[in-house]
This record gives sequence, C-alpha cells and structure tokens, in this order.
Amino acid sequence: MQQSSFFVVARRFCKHRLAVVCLVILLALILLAVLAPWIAPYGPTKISGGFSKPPDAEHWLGTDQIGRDMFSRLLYAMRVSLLVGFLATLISTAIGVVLGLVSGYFGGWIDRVIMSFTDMVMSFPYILLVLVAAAIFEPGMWTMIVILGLVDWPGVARLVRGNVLSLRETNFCKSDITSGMPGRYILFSEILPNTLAPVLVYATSVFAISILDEAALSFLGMGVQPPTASLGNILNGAQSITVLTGKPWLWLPAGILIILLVMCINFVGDALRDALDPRGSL
Amino acid sequence: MERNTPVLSARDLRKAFPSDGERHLLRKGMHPAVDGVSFDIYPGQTFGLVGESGCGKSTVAKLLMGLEKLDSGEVYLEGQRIDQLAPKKLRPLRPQFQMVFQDSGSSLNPRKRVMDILSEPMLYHGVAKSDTVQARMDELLEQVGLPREMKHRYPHEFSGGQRQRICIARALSLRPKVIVLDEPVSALDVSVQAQILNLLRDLQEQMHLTYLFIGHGLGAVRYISHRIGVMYMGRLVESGDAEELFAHPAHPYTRALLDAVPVADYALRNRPRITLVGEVGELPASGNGCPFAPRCPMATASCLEHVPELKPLAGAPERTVACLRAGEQR
Repeated sequence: MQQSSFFVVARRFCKHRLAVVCLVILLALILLAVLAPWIAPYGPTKISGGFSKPPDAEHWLGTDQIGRDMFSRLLYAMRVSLLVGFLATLISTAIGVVLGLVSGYFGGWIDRVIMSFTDMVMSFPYILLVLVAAAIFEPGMWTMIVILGLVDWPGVARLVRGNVLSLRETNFCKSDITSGMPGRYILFSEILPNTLAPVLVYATSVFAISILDEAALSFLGMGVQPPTASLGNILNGAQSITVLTGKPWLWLPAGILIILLVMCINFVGDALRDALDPRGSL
Repeated sequence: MERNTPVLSARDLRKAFPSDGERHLLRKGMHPAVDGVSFDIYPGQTFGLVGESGCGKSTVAKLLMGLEKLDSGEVYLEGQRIDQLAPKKLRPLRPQFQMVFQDSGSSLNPRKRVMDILSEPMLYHGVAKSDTVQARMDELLEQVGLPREMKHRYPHEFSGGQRQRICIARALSLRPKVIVLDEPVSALDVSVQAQILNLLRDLQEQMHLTYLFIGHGLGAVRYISHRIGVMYMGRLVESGDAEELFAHPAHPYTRALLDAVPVADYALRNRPRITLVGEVGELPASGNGCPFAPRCPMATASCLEHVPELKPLAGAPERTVACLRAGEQR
C-alpha cells in the first residue's frame, strides 16, 4: 500500500518533463560531488600544473591562480556547497516545523510569543547578521551551516503554523475531538502528515537559497575559508577584471554550477508540490 | 409516550459570538447565535432540528459535542452533566455521543485509508483489539452498505454519498448511544439523500440508536424525525411530534416554512400560503419583542413588547410554541 502511493506520486512527478530532466541533472551532480575523491584526477589542494593555465587534456577546466586543477576543485567545492545547503535546510526546517506546530496548535500567548519572535528574525537583515556572526565566531563551513540554519526557519514556521490553523478547523480534526482522541494523535497523526508535503516543497527552496547564501558569503570571504574549495570562494577569484575578461575558466564553471543547482532544485520542488497533492489527478 | 431518562438533554443553551458590525471602544458587540435552547431526546428516537441557514442549529450541535464552549446552559448525557467536565474527564465518555458532519469531503483525512480512519479510534478506546479490528471494520462497512474491500482505499476515491457512509461507519465504530447528525444529507443529490436517510433509519432500528438530526430540508427532517424543533434566530419557536407539527403547525414561522416547500401538484399552486418577507436578522425596532415579529403576517402590537416564552400548546401538552397567537386560525 505504502508502495502504491509512492508510485502514484512518482507517476505524477514524471508528467513534468522539465522537472525530470532537472532531477536527473541534480542526481548526477550530487553523485559527482559524493564520489569526488574517486573521480577527481587531482587532490583539491594539490598544485599540479602551471598558474592559470587554460583548459587542456591534462587539466580539463584549466588550473587556478596557484596551479591547482579546477575540475577537481569544482567537484570538492560542490561537495561543500551541497553539504552546507543540506544541513542548513535540515536545521532550519526542523526549527520551523517545531515552532510552527507549537504555535498553531496551542495558540494563545504561546502563539503570540513565537510569532513575534519569528517576525523579529524575519525582519532582521540576515546577511548582516551572518556577517557579524562570522566576524565574531571563526568563519568556516560549520559556523556558516549553523548561522544559515538559525536564520532561515521563519518561513517554514509561518507555513506550518498557517497549515495547522486551517487543518485544526477541518472536520476530520473535529471528529477526532468528538471521538475523544488525544491531542498528540491529532497533532502527529492528522495535522503533521498533512503539512509535510508543503514543508518538503518549501524546504527545496530553502535548500536553493542556502546554496546561494553560501556562495554569497564565501564570495565575500566570510564563508568557507581557503584552501577548502566552495563554489562561492572559487568565484572570489574572479574579483579582478583581468580574470573576469581574460580567464573565464576560473569562474564560469563555478557560476554555471550554482545556477544549475539552484534552478534544478527549484524545478524539482515545483513538480514535487503538484505530485504530492493527494487531491490531484492520478 | 413513555417518559424514561433522555439520552441527551439540552438545558437553556446560550452562546453569543462577537459580531463584526457593531464595535464599541473596547468591546465588540455580541451577537447571540443560540439563545436559550432546551430539549430532550429519548432513547431510540430522532429529534429533528430545522430552521433557515444561520438560525443557530449547527451551533447547537457544536455546543452539545463540546466543540464550542457554552456561555451558559447545561448538557446532560443520560442524566450526567457533561458540559463542565474537563477535557480529560470527558474523553472516555466521548465514544457514547458521536457526530456526523455536513461536508463529508473534509471529514476524512485525505492521507489516510479508510481502514486507518476507522481502526485508529477503535484501537485507542479499546472497542476492538488488534486481532479483532479487521473483522469489526468489515462488519461496519457492511452495515453502512459498502463492500469490505473498500477499506484499502483513500477518501478521494469515493463519491459524496459513499464518503458520508464512511463517516457514519466511523461514528458507529465506537458503539455510541446517540449520534448528532449535522445536515448529513444537505450536500448530497436527492436520490443519494434518500439512500442515506434510509440507511440511518435502518441503523437506528437495528441498534436502538438515538439521533439529533439537523437539517433545513423539511422533507428529510420529517421523514427521519419522531419529534421536531423549529429554530428561528437562535431560539426554539416550536417543538412537538413530527406528524402533528407538520399537520397542524402552530407557530406562524413553522407555517411559513411549510408553505415555502415547493409542491409538484399544479392544482395546488394557488393554495393559501404564508409568504415571508424581509430577511433573517431583523430584530423588532423596540429591541425586545418576538424576534419573528418584523416578518410575521400575524404580528400585533403586543408581539413587539415582549419575547414570547415557549409554552405548552392548549390541548396538546407534547407541543410547545413560543407565540402569543399560537394556534389561531390563519
């Protein structure tokens, strides 16, 4: 039974051709990133050729300013970017779901306190927050994961709260009350499963945004620190005008990868939203 | 009629909601949705509650089920007062009084199969154990006239009538004494309505169930009810034996409701009728008269002075009417 509903979702997902293509690209990229140590021809920090050499047979995407293989660095960079995006999304979604559930279900002053706090976090210019935090704590991958995780949750919290509020008024929750079912049953067996689909869809966009944020912060030098490669700090090397105009292999592949990742994640999320709607056509 | 303990009693139920219209500086104006409703429902019987949309009949159901908090009044289940019980104390009693909602579409969790919807409450309350629950579900589905294989399906795979059958099966699953049916057939096609009404009647006979049937379709309410209460603007304006009440309506509002039912017989098209003018919700200008007076063709000056009480009708002690001119010839 569980399997058959999975197939229904998969079939509906496959109707979106673009999303299927994106999913394939995304999975391929993730596979490349995961298998980087085995695929990459050189180590990510190993100096293996001349400085800023254009692509050739030995270095498919050329070498960077200090002679490291760009292709290898890109693979490792993708690893870091995906990991940051994934863990930040995981943290912020977990916080958002818990706060949203509590806020929506219990209501009253708990709701008001949580929602005021949410608005506060939401209204804060968080790039600034992240910069300050990165300045206070040691900038690095883990700091960035925690910081992004701690600022990205308000959207999830509001989404879940709104869902809980509307689900609480449905007749199936009311008939649980009239059947004498306990609150935990209503919350975890009726409300939570019905909010997971929109949360999952929302999480894909948080994932995409987290990757962008990582790139932005690393570009500014407040994120992942060299020599560890990330898509953002590879772009950092493109700050000089000579690189930008004369040596596109130093920044173009990283830029394309970011666009590809973010775009694919968003398209997959869109298709997922349609596929997970239980009232949708089979 | 035998006078044993009522299964469900409502005593002077009152509930007001904040109204959007009038707002004072600090407090919103309160609009009474249910304004002093009392009735008793006896074992194995159906009490029908009729009235126009917005007359407060669904609020009565919610108050009885504890889905809304009473402003004042009392609810008794087999003589035990239940409206003041803490949620924890009330929960073990809940299986005894169940509810079926109007909109069967939103009454069933779209992500659960019928078998989950039916089995989870039974297992929680210990009505069935894990080894007997399958057999019990088959029995329930059979009772409501659905093939037992359908328990593997999801709610959206059913028609409205079938979904309402599932809702009835869920209500039955906890072996209730009384079921509150809040417009259970109003959203269904006429032919399906008849099937569901017959099903409800058969189930009542088999299991000696007690119903509170809320509806605005007079035909359905008359068909299923033993006794009927007519509501207007949050008040019970008339109650009594179903056939009696339909044959000799004593309150002008009841008459108007009956006269408003379209009759298929062409010869009767010019029959004398009470036709209502105006809208629900117009209170008498004096502020304390009979709430129906502004629309009532029989209203006199005294109707605008005080609210008529619900009193037994002369010569028919089972009937009660809240009208100064009750029983007068039209």
